[in-house]
Amino acid sequence: MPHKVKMYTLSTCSHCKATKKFMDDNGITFEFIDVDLLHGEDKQRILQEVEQYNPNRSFPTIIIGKTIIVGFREDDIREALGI
Amino acid sequence: MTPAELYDIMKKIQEPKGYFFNKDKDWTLSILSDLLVNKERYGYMSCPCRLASGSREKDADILCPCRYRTDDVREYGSCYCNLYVSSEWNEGVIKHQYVPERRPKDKMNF
Repeated sequence: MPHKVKMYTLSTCSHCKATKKFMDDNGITFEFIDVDLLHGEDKQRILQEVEQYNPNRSFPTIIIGKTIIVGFREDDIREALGI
Repeated sequence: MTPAELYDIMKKIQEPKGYFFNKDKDWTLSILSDLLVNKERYGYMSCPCRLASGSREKDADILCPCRYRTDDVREYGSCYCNLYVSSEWNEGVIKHQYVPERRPKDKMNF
């Protein structure tokens, strides 16, 4: 069964764009939230979520199954996805 | 201003200081384009790879070029975004590795 992939990203971040492209290129289905496009309470709520996975609140924060990867670390992402 | 115009302006200022744009010009122009998005959105060119607070004072350390660029280029040959790099990084003399976030955690709490 494929891993569920969820990512916290910024719409302006080069590494986030590269990560999204990597997922697309490899046919991986993923959910993402561009945190910089949120406002007010929504933004704070999502930032609290990000902090649970990555206390530094940096982007992209990638969750693949139970694995958390901070940054577009291609080798780690491939390993977590098993590709 | 267009990303290409920003490229020309910054190149003249930064290259004499030893900071070169990533030779992958698509990558570089994309980041410069996002810097202009941030200028429009926040009123200043904060690092597009980081979440801006919207306060110029709080984001002073991440106005591009950010305060962490010197140490990151010295240690990794590249800034956090892979926008500004050393000539050795561009020439592939040093290994390209992911540049970890150097900004202190407390600056990202807002």
